[in-house]
Amino acid sequence: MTRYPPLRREDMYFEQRRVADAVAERRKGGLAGPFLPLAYVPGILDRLQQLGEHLRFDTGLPRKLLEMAILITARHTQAQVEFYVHCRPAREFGVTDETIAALAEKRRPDKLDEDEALVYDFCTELHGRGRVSDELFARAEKRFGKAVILDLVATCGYYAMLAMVLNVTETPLPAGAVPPFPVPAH
Amino acid sequence: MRYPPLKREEMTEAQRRVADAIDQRRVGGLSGPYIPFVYSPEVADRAQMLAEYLRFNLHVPEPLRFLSVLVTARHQSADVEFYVHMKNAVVAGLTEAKVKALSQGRRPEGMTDDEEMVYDFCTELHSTGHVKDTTFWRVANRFSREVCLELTVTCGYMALLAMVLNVTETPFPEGAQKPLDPPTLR
Repeated sequence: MTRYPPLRREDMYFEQRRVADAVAERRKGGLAGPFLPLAYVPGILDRLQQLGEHLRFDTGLPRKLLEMAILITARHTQAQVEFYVHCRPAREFGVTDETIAALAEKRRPDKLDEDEALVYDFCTELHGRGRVSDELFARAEKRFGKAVILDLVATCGYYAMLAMVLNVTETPLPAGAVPPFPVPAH
Repeated sequence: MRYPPLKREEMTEAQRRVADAIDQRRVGGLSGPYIPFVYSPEVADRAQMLAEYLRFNLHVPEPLRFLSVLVTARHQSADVEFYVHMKNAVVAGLTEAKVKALSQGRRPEGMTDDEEMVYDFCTELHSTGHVKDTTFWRVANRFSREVCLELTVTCGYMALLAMVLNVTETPFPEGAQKPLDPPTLR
Protein backbone atom coordinates (compact mmCIF):
# COMPACT_ATOMS: atom_id res chain seq x y z
CA MET A 1 0.00 0.00 0.00
CA THR A 2 1.25 3.50 -0.80
CA ARG A 3 2.37 5.15 2.40
CA TYR A 4 1.72 8.75 1.28
CA PRO A 5 -0.58 9.06 -1.74
CA PRO A 6 0.08 12.52 -3.25
CA LEU A 7 -2.46 14.98 -1.88
CA ARG A 8 -4.78 16.39 -4.50
CA ARG A 9 -5.31 20.11 -4.35
CA GLU A 10 -9.04 19.66 -3.81
CA ASP A 11 -8.33 17.48 -0.77
CA MET A 12 -6.00 19.95 0.95
CA TYR A 13 -7.16 21.98 3.92
CA PHE A 14 -6.39 25.69 4.07
CA GLU A 15 -2.95 25.54 5.71
CA GLN A 16 -1.84 22.69 3.43
CA ARG A 17 -2.76 24.75 0.39
CA ARG A 18 -1.17 27.90 1.73
CA VAL A 19 2.17 26.21 2.44
CA ALA A 20 2.13 24.01 -0.68
CA ASP A 21 1.62 27.14 -2.80
CA ALA A 22 4.32 29.07 -0.94
CA VAL A 23 6.88 26.27 -1.36
CA ALA A 24 5.93 25.75 -5.02
CA GLU A 25 6.50 29.47 -5.54
CA ARG A 26 9.82 29.93 -3.74
CA ARG A 27 11.52 26.60 -4.41
CA LYS A 28 13.41 26.14 -7.69
CA GLY A 29 12.05 22.65 -8.34
CA GLY A 30 8.58 23.47 -7.03
CA LEU A 31 6.66 21.19 -4.68
CA ALA A 32 8.41 17.92 -5.55
CA GLY A 33 10.40 15.03 -4.09
CA PRO A 34 10.22 14.81 -0.28
CA PHE A 35 8.24 18.04 -0.10
CA LEU A 36 5.18 16.40 -1.65
CA PRO A 37 4.51 13.95 1.20
CA LEU A 38 5.60 16.60 3.73
CA ALA A 39 2.48 18.54 2.72
CA TYR A 40 0.64 16.10 5.01
CA VAL A 41 2.15 18.17 7.86
CA PRO A 42 2.34 21.71 6.48
CA GLY A 43 3.88 23.21 9.65
CA ILE A 44 6.89 20.96 9.20
CA LEU A 45 7.03 21.36 5.41
CA ASP A 46 7.24 25.13 5.73
CA ARG A 47 10.00 25.25 8.33
CA LEU A 48 12.03 22.33 7.00
CA GLN A 49 12.12 23.77 3.50
CA GLN A 50 13.20 27.21 4.74
CA LEU A 51 16.11 25.65 6.59
CA GLY A 52 17.06 23.55 3.55
CA GLU A 53 16.90 26.45 1.15
CA HIS A 54 19.39 28.42 3.22
CA LEU A 55 21.75 25.49 3.68
CA ARG A 56 21.77 24.70 -0.01
CA PHE A 57 22.23 28.19 -1.41
CA ASP A 58 23.46 30.61 1.21
CA THR A 59 26.07 29.26 3.58
CA GLY A 60 29.81 29.85 3.54
CA LEU A 61 30.50 26.28 2.42
CA PRO A 62 31.66 26.05 -1.24
CA ARG A 63 28.99 24.36 -3.37
CA LYS A 64 31.22 21.51 -4.52
CA LEU A 65 31.98 20.56 -0.91
CA LEU A 66 28.34 20.95 0.05
CA GLU A 67 27.29 18.52 -2.68
CA MET A 68 29.95 16.09 -1.52
CA ALA A 69 28.66 16.27 2.04
CA ILE A 70 25.15 15.56 0.73
CA LEU A 71 26.30 12.46 -1.17
CA ILE A 72 28.12 11.10 1.88
CA THR A 73 25.01 11.74 3.99
CA ALA A 74 22.69 10.12 1.45
CA ARG A 75 24.89 7.04 1.32
CA HIS A 76 25.08 6.83 5.10
CA THR A 77 21.30 6.99 5.45
CA GLN A 78 20.75 4.62 2.51
CA ALA A 79 18.68 7.17 0.61
CA GLN A 80 18.87 6.22 -3.06
CA VAL A 81 16.68 9.10 -4.19
CA GLU A 82 18.75 11.74 -2.41
CA PHE A 83 22.00 10.34 -3.78
CA TYR A 84 20.59 10.03 -7.29
CA VAL A 85 19.19 13.54 -7.41
CA HIS A 86 22.41 15.12 -6.11
CA CYS A 87 24.76 13.36 -8.55
CA ARG A 88 24.03 16.00 -11.17
CA PRO A 89 24.78 19.13 -9.12
CA ALA A 90 27.80 17.32 -7.63
CA ARG A 91 29.20 16.81 -11.15
CA GLU A 92 28.32 20.35 -12.20
CA PHE A 93 30.30 21.77 -9.29
CA GLY A 94 33.32 19.60 -9.99
CA VAL A 95 33.04 16.33 -8.08
CA THR A 96 34.49 13.69 -10.42
CA ASP A 97 32.67 10.58 -11.62
CA GLU A 98 35.32 8.42 -9.91
CA THR A 99 34.67 10.14 -6.60
CA ILE A 100 30.91 9.77 -6.95
CA ALA A 101 31.29 6.07 -7.79
CA ALA A 102 33.47 5.52 -4.72
CA LEU A 103 31.01 7.32 -2.45
CA ALA A 104 28.19 5.15 -3.81
CA GLU A 105 30.26 2.11 -2.86
CA LYS A 106 30.90 3.57 0.57
CA ARG A 107 34.64 3.67 0.17
CA ARG A 108 37.14 6.51 0.44
CA PRO A 109 37.71 7.95 -3.04
CA ASP A 110 41.31 7.58 -4.28
CA LYS A 111 41.95 11.05 -5.61
CA LEU A 112 40.74 13.81 -3.37
CA ASP A 113 42.07 17.33 -3.18
CA GLU A 114 42.78 18.74 0.26
CA ASP A 115 39.34 20.29 0.76
CA GLU A 116 37.53 17.18 -0.45
CA ALA A 117 39.60 14.97 1.85
CA LEU A 118 38.78 17.19 4.80
CA VAL A 119 35.04 17.15 4.07
CA TYR A 120 35.10 13.41 3.48
CA ASP A 121 36.84 12.73 6.80
CA PHE A 122 34.66 15.20 8.70
CA CYS A 123 31.30 13.95 7.42
CA THR A 124 32.24 10.30 7.66
CA GLU A 125 33.32 10.66 11.27
CA LEU A 126 30.32 12.82 12.14
CA HIS A 127 27.85 10.27 10.78
CA GLY A 128 29.79 7.35 12.18
CA ARG A 129 30.24 8.60 15.72
CA GLY A 130 27.98 11.64 16.08
CA ARG A 131 31.05 13.80 16.82
CA VAL A 132 34.52 14.65 15.49
CA SER A 133 37.99 14.33 17.02
CA ASP A 134 40.06 17.33 18.16
CA GLU A 135 42.51 16.74 15.32
CA LEU A 136 39.77 16.83 12.71
CA PHE A 137 38.04 19.81 14.29
CA ALA A 138 41.35 21.73 14.27
CA ARG A 139 41.91 20.93 10.59
CA ALA A 140 38.40 22.07 9.70
CA GLU A 141 38.67 25.21 11.82
CA LYS A 142 41.91 26.22 10.16
CA ARG A 143 40.42 25.84 6.70
CA PHE A 144 36.82 26.97 7.20
CA GLY A 145 36.41 28.67 10.58
CA LYS A 146 33.90 27.97 13.32
CA ALA A 147 30.80 29.29 11.55
CA VAL A 148 31.25 27.23 8.39
CA ILE A 149 31.89 24.11 10.49
CA LEU A 150 28.41 24.62 11.90
CA ASP A 151 27.05 25.01 8.37
CA LEU A 152 28.67 21.69 7.46
CA VAL A 153 27.28 19.97 10.57
CA ALA A 154 23.81 21.37 9.92
CA THR A 155 24.05 20.27 6.27
CA CYS A 156 24.85 16.70 7.32
CA GLY A 157 22.03 16.79 9.86
CA TYR A 158 19.50 18.35 7.53
CA TYR A 159 20.15 16.01 4.61
CA ALA A 160 20.05 13.01 6.95
CA MET A 161 16.66 14.24 8.16
CA LEU A 162 15.49 14.71 4.57
CA ALA A 163 16.82 11.25 3.68
CA MET A 164 14.74 9.76 6.48
CA VAL A 165 11.68 11.57 5.12
CA LEU A 166 12.38 10.25 1.61
CA ASN A 167 12.87 6.71 2.92
CA VAL A 168 9.89 6.66 5.28
CA THR A 169 7.54 8.17 2.70
CA GLU A 170 8.97 5.85 0.02
CA THR A 171 9.37 8.74 -2.39
CA PRO A 172 10.11 7.01 -5.74
CA LEU A 173 13.21 7.41 -7.91
CA PRO A 174 12.53 9.28 -11.15
CA ALA A 175 11.12 6.95 -13.84
CA GLY A 176 13.84 4.95 -15.57
CA ALA A 177 16.52 5.91 -13.04
CA VAL A 178 19.09 3.28 -12.11
CA PRO A 179 19.49 3.08 -8.30
CA PRO A 180 23.00 4.34 -7.42
CA PHE A 181 23.54 1.58 -4.84
CA PRO A 182 21.56 -1.37 -3.51
CA VAL A 183 19.62 -1.08 -0.25
CA PRO A 184 19.29 -4.35 1.66
CA ALA A 185 15.80 -5.46 2.64
CA HIS A 186 15.11 -3.64 5.88
CA MET B 1 36.83 25.36 24.29
CA ARG B 2 35.73 24.98 20.68
CA TYR B 3 33.02 27.66 20.76
CA PRO B 4 33.55 30.26 23.47
CA PRO B 5 30.19 31.99 24.06
CA LEU B 6 30.10 35.19 22.01
CA LYS B 7 29.95 38.38 24.01
CA ARG B 8 27.39 40.88 22.78
CA GLU B 9 30.02 43.36 21.70
CA GLU B 10 31.81 40.66 19.66
CA MET B 11 28.69 39.74 17.70
CA THR B 12 28.03 40.83 14.13
CA GLU B 13 24.73 42.55 13.50
CA ALA B 14 23.19 39.32 12.19
CA GLN B 15 24.40 37.34 15.20
CA ARG B 16 22.97 39.91 17.60
CA ARG B 17 19.62 39.97 15.82
CA VAL B 18 19.27 36.17 15.93
CA ALA B 19 20.59 35.86 19.50
CA ASP B 20 17.96 38.38 20.63
CA ALA B 21 15.17 36.72 18.62
CA ILE B 22 15.90 33.25 20.01
CA ASP B 23 16.30 34.64 23.50
CA GLN B 24 12.84 36.19 23.29
CA ARG B 25 10.82 33.48 21.61
CA ARG B 26 12.39 30.32 23.02
CA VAL B 27 11.30 28.80 26.32
CA GLY B 28 14.62 28.72 28.17
CA GLY B 29 15.94 31.65 26.15
CA LEU B 30 19.30 31.56 24.41
CA SER B 31 20.88 28.52 26.04
CA GLY B 32 22.30 25.05 25.36
CA PRO B 33 23.21 24.36 21.73
CA TYR B 34 21.85 27.72 20.56
CA ILE B 35 24.68 29.60 22.29
CA PRO B 36 27.35 28.17 19.94
CA PHE B 37 24.84 27.86 17.11
CA VAL B 38 24.66 31.68 16.72
CA TYR B 39 28.18 31.60 15.30
CA SER B 40 26.17 30.77 12.14
CA PRO B 41 23.14 32.96 12.83
CA GLU B 42 20.89 32.33 9.86
CA VAL B 43 21.15 28.55 10.23
CA ALA B 44 20.51 28.80 13.97
CA ASP B 45 17.45 30.97 13.38
CA ARG B 46 15.82 28.65 10.86
CA ALA B 47 16.73 25.51 12.79
CA GLN B 48 15.23 26.90 15.98
CA MET B 49 11.94 27.74 14.23
CA LEU B 50 11.62 24.11 13.20
CA ALA B 51 12.53 23.02 16.73
CA GLU B 52 9.89 25.28 18.20
CA TYR B 53 7.22 23.70 16.02
CA LEU B 54 8.34 20.17 16.84
CA ARG B 55 8.23 20.92 20.53
CA PHE B 56 4.74 22.37 20.74
CA ASN B 57 2.63 21.29 17.78
CA LEU B 58 2.89 17.55 17.31
CA HIS B 59 0.09 15.02 17.50
CA VAL B 60 2.47 12.59 19.17
CA PRO B 61 1.49 11.91 22.81
CA GLU B 62 4.05 13.49 25.17
CA PRO B 63 5.58 10.31 26.66
CA LEU B 64 6.12 9.01 23.14
CA ARG B 65 7.63 12.27 21.92
CA PHE B 66 10.13 12.08 24.79
CA LEU B 67 10.78 8.45 23.96
CA SER B 68 11.77 9.43 20.40
CA VAL B 69 14.05 12.19 21.73
CA LEU B 70 15.81 9.89 24.20
CA VAL B 71 16.32 7.12 21.62
CA THR B 72 17.88 9.74 19.34
CA ALA B 73 20.14 11.22 22.03
CA ARG B 74 21.36 7.72 22.94
CA HIS B 75 21.95 6.83 19.29
CA GLN B 76 24.01 10.00 18.83
CA SER B 77 25.86 9.59 22.13
CA ALA B 78 24.73 13.06 23.17
CA ASP B 79 24.89 13.21 26.96
CA VAL B 80 23.65 16.80 27.16
CA GLU B 81 20.62 16.10 25.01
CA PHE B 82 19.71 13.00 26.98
CA TYR B 83 20.22 14.77 30.29
CA VAL B 84 18.09 17.82 29.57
CA HIS B 85 15.14 15.65 28.46
CA MET B 86 15.22 12.76 30.91
CA LYS B 87 13.57 14.46 33.88
CA ASN B 88 10.73 15.85 31.81
CA ALA B 89 10.34 12.45 30.17
CA VAL B 90 9.56 10.98 33.58
CA VAL B 91 7.20 13.86 34.38
CA ALA B 92 5.48 13.21 31.04
CA GLY B 93 4.95 9.56 31.97
CA LEU B 94 7.91 7.41 30.96
CA THR B 95 9.05 5.37 33.97
CA GLU B 96 12.51 5.83 35.45
CA ALA B 97 13.34 2.20 34.73
CA LYS B 98 12.60 2.73 31.05
CA VAL B 99 14.65 5.91 30.91
CA LYS B 100 17.53 4.04 32.58
CA ALA B 101 17.35 1.25 30.00
CA LEU B 102 17.37 3.81 27.18
CA SER B 103 20.43 5.53 28.68
CA GLN B 104 22.25 2.20 28.49
CA GLY B 105 21.14 1.54 24.92
CA ARG B 106 18.93 -1.37 25.99
CA ARG B 107 15.38 -2.09 24.88
CA PRO B 108 13.24 -1.20 27.93
CA GLU B 109 11.23 -4.01 29.47
CA GLY B 110 7.50 -3.76 30.06
CA MET B 111 6.78 -1.12 27.45
CA THR B 112 3.17 -0.40 26.56
CA ASP B 113 2.07 -1.25 23.02
CA ASP B 114 2.33 2.43 22.07
CA GLU B 115 5.82 2.76 23.51
CA GLU B 116 6.94 -0.40 21.81
CA MET B 117 5.84 0.66 18.35
CA VAL B 118 7.45 4.09 18.69
CA TYR B 119 10.65 2.57 20.10
CA ASP B 120 10.83 0.21 17.12
CA PHE B 121 10.07 3.00 14.66
CA CYS B 122 12.82 5.30 15.95
CA THR B 123 15.38 2.55 16.48
CA GLU B 124 14.96 1.18 12.96
CA LEU B 125 15.05 4.67 11.52
CA HIS B 126 18.36 5.51 13.18
CA SER B 127 20.04 2.21 12.47
CA THR B 128 19.03 1.76 8.81
CA GLY B 129 17.59 5.10 7.68
CA HIS B 130 14.40 3.19 6.86
CA VAL B 131 11.31 1.82 8.63
CA LYS B 132 9.90 -1.61 7.80
CA ASP B 133 6.35 -1.91 6.48
CA THR B 134 5.07 -3.66 9.60
CA THR B 135 6.60 -0.98 11.82
CA PHE B 136 5.33 1.88 9.69
CA TRP B 137 1.76 0.60 9.48
CA ARG B 138 1.60 -0.25 13.15
CA VAL B 139 2.18 3.43 13.98
CA ALA B 140 0.13 4.72 11.04
CA ASN B 141 -2.87 2.54 11.95
CA ARG B 142 -2.68 3.29 15.66
CA PHE B 143 -2.10 7.04 15.17
CA SER B 144 -1.80 8.39 11.62
CA ARG B 145 0.53 8.95 8.68
CA GLU B 146 1.03 12.45 9.99
CA VAL B 147 2.36 11.08 13.28
CA CYS B 148 4.81 8.88 11.34
CA LEU B 149 6.17 12.00 9.63
CA GLU B 150 6.27 13.93 12.88
CA LEU B 151 8.27 11.16 14.55
CA THR B 152 10.63 10.94 11.57
CA VAL B 153 11.37 14.65 11.60
CA THR B 154 11.71 14.70 15.40
CA CYS B 155 14.34 11.93 15.17
CA GLY B 156 16.04 13.81 12.34
CA TYR B 157 16.05 17.17 14.04
CA MET B 158 17.16 15.89 17.44
CA ALA B 159 20.00 14.04 15.67
CA LEU B 160 21.03 17.28 13.98
CA LEU B 161 20.95 19.09 17.31
CA ALA B 162 22.93 16.27 18.95
CA MET B 163 25.65 16.73 16.33
CA VAL B 164 25.73 20.46 17.07
CA LEU B 165 26.01 19.75 20.80
CA ASN B 166 28.76 17.19 20.29
CA VAL B 167 30.80 19.13 17.73
CA THR B 168 30.59 22.41 19.67
CA GLU B 169 31.23 20.55 22.93
CA THR B 170 28.40 22.44 24.56
CA PRO B 171 29.20 22.18 28.28
CA PHE B 172 27.39 19.70 30.48
CA PRO B 173 25.45 21.26 33.41
CA GLU B 174 27.89 21.68 36.30
CA GLY B 175 27.84 18.98 38.96
CA ALA B 176 25.43 16.76 37.03
CA GLN B 177 26.30 13.15 36.31
CA LYS B 178 26.51 12.10 32.68
CA PRO B 179 23.60 9.73 32.03
CA LEU B 180 24.89 7.65 29.10
CA ASP B 181 26.57 4.40 30.06
CA PRO B 182 28.67 3.47 28.18
CA PRO B 183 29.36 6.98 26.81
CA THR B 184 29.44 5.74 23.20
CA LEU B 185 27.98 2.69 21.52
CA ARG B 186 29.62 2.98 18.11
